[in-house]
Amino acid sequence: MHCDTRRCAVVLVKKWIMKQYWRVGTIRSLLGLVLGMFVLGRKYYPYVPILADEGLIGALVLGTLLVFLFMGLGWLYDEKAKMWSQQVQATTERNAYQYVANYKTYAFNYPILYALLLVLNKTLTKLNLSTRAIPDSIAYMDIYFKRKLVKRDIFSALPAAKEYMKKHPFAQGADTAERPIGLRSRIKLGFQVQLLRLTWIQSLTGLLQDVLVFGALYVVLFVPESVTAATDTVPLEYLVLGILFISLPLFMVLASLGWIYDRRLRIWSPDMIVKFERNPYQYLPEPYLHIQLFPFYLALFSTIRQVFMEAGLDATSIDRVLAFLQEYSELDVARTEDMDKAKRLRKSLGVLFS
Amino acid sequence: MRFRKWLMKQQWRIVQIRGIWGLFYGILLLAITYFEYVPLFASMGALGPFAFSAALLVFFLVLGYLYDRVFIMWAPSQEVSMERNPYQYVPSPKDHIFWFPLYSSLLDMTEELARKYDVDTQYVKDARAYYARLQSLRPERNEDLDIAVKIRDEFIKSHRFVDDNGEQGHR
Repeated sequence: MHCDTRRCAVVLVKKWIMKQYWRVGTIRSLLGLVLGMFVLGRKYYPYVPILADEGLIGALVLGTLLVFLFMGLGWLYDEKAKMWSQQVQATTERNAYQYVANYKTYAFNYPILYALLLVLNKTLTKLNLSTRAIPDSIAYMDIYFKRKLVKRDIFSALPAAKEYMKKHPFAQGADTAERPIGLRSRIKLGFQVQLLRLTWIQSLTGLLQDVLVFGALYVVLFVPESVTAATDTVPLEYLVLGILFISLPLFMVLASLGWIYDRRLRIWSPDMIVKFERNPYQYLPEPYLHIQLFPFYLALFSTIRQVFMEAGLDATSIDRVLAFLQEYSELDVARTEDMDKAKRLRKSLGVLFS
Repeated sequence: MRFRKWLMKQQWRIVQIRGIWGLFYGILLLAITYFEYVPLFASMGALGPFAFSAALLVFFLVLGYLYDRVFIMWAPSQEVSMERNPYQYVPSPKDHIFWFPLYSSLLDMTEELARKYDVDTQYVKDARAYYARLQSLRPERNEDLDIAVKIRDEFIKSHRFVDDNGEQGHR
């Protein structure tokens, strides 16, 4: 990127800040569980009968036990229950952009689908080879791209797709009936749905919860006499003062910072750039490409190659793209150097859309 | 690489469990800070914070149900997140490395076939011009996001799959 303007320098600084933020976040995610458990151990050990009289040792023992408990739960969650499947299912089902086109689909897929479908339709009509498939597909795309992010459009998308696939199945006579789902899977999904709902509510109310806890704990610092020596608690009137003069102003400050983060600094842009640059699948093929797209594009380009040969056209460009797909599919995310290979492979194709 | 992958697997597990645990951690912390001020729970002694946590959990689950089923709040929530992703507007590394070469080849081949049979290729030319502009846009430049939205909207407006009269391929 050329950086000869002041604005560009600001972008670089923002990106640097977000890089540090990403690094801190990564380390925090590793250490957060351990630190959290020890804080909880310190807070809760007086309520655990065997450890109540052990002081610091009791807090550390409870914290350590909780760390091991959660490490074990992590193993069960991953290896035994494979909960990540239902976790992704619950999230995907509640992703509105699984049903309605997102900004990227409009910007990147609409033009290519538009050009290919319409030219193909005209060409087939000219050759008297026209079928209902292409006009139906055009009509389907028209409805798809007109859907908005409203309840009716979201919930009508999947039935419409199933209806279309019934009319145009991949193979004639293919079994399109839905297979029943087992009770265990349903229970796991139900659990993940509840977790997801809690996540949403926590993310909505989390900041408020944090400032309420902060206000209640820190009012003691500002008004030391607020602690009742006998019970080691803060009387209600001081707690209200803590909420009014610590929690609420802090909430307003943090909310304003959020506005500055979003509107003034637009930090979300460098934040996303840093995340994308650190995703190896931005450069290399992910399982989805191997499983779904490579077989499709291989068949598509091979078929078009045959058509080109029959029509007496030069198929060199198709051979080039087939070679590109072949080389790209051999790159492996396990080899760090393949990321540079992927970039070189793209450059070898020269200028596109010229 | 295998060790690094193993280490990252442990990190993934910790993050997952921490994510789940984090939901309850915040509630437990809130409950233990405030339970003494709620008469019903204050009188429960050691059980007070846990009972208050359980009550808060049920309350949050009810709120979650309303959020999910009644108000479908996940839709506008994702819209807000989507709007704040620059790669929704401008090309990502994956687009440059994988998708654009494919798109370019598909357009070239379609155009060549159409030309062979004397079919109008303006649709392809328009799409190619669009992608040529799109691929020059960068996420580091904020003004590029605005340009991307502008050219996308212009293309969609002037190239509709089906027009108001039901005719396909209106341009």
